[in-house]
Amino acid sequence: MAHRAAIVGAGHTRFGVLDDGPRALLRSAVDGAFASVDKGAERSQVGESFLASLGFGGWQIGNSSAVLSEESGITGAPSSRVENACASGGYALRSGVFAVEQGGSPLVLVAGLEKMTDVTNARRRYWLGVSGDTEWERAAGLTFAGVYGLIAAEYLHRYPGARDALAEVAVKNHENGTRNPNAHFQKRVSREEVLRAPRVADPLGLYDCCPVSDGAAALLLAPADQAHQYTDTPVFVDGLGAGSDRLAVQERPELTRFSASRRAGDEALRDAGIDRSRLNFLEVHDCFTIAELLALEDLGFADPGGAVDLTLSGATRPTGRLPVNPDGGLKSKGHPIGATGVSQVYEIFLQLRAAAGTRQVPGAEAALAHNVGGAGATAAVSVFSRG
Amino acid sequence: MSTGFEGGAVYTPRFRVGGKPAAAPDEDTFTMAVEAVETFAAGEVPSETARVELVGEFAAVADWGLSAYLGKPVELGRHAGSAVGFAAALRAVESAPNEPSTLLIAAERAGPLGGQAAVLRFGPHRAPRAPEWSQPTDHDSAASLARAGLASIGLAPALPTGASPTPPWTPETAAAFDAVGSLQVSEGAYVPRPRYLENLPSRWRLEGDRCGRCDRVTFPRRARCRFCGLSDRLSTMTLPRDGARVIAATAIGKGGQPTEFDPQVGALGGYGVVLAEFDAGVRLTLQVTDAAPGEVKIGDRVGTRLRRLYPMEGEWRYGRKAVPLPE
Ligand SMILES: [Zn+2]
Repeated sequence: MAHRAAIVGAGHTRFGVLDDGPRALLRSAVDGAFASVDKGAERSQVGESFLASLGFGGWQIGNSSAVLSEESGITGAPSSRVENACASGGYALRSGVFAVEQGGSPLVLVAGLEKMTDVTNARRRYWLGVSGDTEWERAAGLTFAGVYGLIAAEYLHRYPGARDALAEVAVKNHENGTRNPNAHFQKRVSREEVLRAPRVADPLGLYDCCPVSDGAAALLLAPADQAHQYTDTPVFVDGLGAGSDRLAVQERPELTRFSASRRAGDEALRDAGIDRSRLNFLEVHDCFTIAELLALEDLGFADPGGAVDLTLSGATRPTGRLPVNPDGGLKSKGHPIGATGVSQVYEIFLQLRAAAGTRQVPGAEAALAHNVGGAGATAAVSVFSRG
Repeated sequence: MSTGFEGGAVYTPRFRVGGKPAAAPDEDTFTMAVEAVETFAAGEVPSETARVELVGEFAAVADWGLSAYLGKPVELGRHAGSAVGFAAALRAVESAPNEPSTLLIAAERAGPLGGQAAVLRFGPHRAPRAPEWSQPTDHDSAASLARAGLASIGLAPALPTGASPTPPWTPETAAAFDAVGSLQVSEGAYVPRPRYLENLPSRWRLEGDRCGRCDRVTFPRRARCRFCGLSDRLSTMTLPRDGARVIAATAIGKGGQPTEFDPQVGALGGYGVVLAEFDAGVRLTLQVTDAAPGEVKIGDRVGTRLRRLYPMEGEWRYGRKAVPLPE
């Protein structure tokens, strides 16, 4: 299989309600990425950088890419912000790989950042809704919780038994989060707690929703044929896929499938030339529990409705045949919007180098990251291997 | 005094409190006036309307909102009292008997609950059955007078009696919702006022474009068919006021709402939202009103009504919401 680029270093802050501001978060993630390069890398080798961020809260919403280069010590090199709501990270990786392929940069830096907890409650919920369709969906009283609530309602109507699968997603991802020191939540929840929690957007309750978190993550990309200058154990980007859909769910023919995810997944797998059966685990976009079920179906690991049995069978647990979100997923690890897609790749970097500690997926050789913008308006999927 | 109206309709809110019709919290005189017009015209805007005499205490939006709703500029008279209002409508018709119709719209909302509205069409082809009224005074309720007039020629149903459906709100919560309008709620996912106004034919009247090539309906209107991309064979169509089917339904609880809905969640505790599909294949996400959160379910039939959505920048914004319909 052809490698499109190599990941030679990766860094990650804690996710959660943090004291650190956006500059400190970026510094920490980027420093971590450089420190992780086994044979060392110089800041001066970075020829271009990309910052995935929504600009949550309005802090430095314009030109924040210059802040990334400042805090990375690479001022002078071109830098740009990539924004596709919650899929910003996946799209920034895509831009980073394109930059590597274009040549001319020994290293390309891809960072994701969101600082979400330093604004007032009202302002936070204002920003949580800016990526949906503002003119119609929002006027109907919907934010993403409400949109995913509608999706879950139709899904449950079609596939009785799905309520238990939603609870299982929450229970599993919380359990996984306890083995990830960077995760926002470090506690288990029971099926009963999930089902009893207050409803936010029926049928979704509090434990069906990801938290609002601060955090940053960073990756250092190199041309695949130069990866071994930096490390003996690079992780390769083998396939990229992306797609878009109509912004408002009311303009789509179906609620319970994301065509952007389907297109992105098919394209990434085809690009990588790998069969689904060879993937050892998945990092999927579980902003709400229902989203993990949709992801399994949209990516072709289950037929429509089949994610219910797949999930309830335990197959997606760390001990199952297809572990999903071993790092806790957005649900438990947290969802600092721009950082999420980059964080998924950080986890894959650890796992494929057998460096994921107590949550290591045994023998992981290939994995997939699936990153969705909002309620499926944009999606990016990438496929990785350890070469 | 001889009237000269040739038709009309009344609008009576669905719920009653203390035996009297009680408007929902998100209704005001403007939305009730629109209800009366839609009841009268069965969803078709009376295209020959040139002049509207508003009688009663109308929300400020009526100044521009009626023309916007009707989709064409109409001359507007506003009258606080019944005597002057009815006289103005008659004068308009008598001074120009060959001109298009004048609508008299009367609406009232006594306190946070009470409410009714009526529309009368005055025109050159006067109904011979037009009744004699005793001289109205400014103390008479214009809406009640209009209702009585329409009733006398069989055009107004009697006020409902018997048990009312249980309202999903109380007088207290209704008053709290009403008070929301005075709050300055500026932090929503921001739809600038010109963009809100640009969309009014779709937002208020459910106008879409039917494509002359593929026959599919694009809603909201986007100046071209979103299915085949064609832009030169679009014709305006209007989605029916009643008759959409619920595809998905959720109930928004505390914390699940956009910030501009905070005050109404505070007042009402939450609300339903549905995705509903019309026969034309058009789907709409709609806030649910006249029903408790969770009451409207998948498969239910709903209609859409113009109601107050939320206040922004010192004024209420209006749009259509879903209401439950009998099967
Ligand atoms: Zn067409």
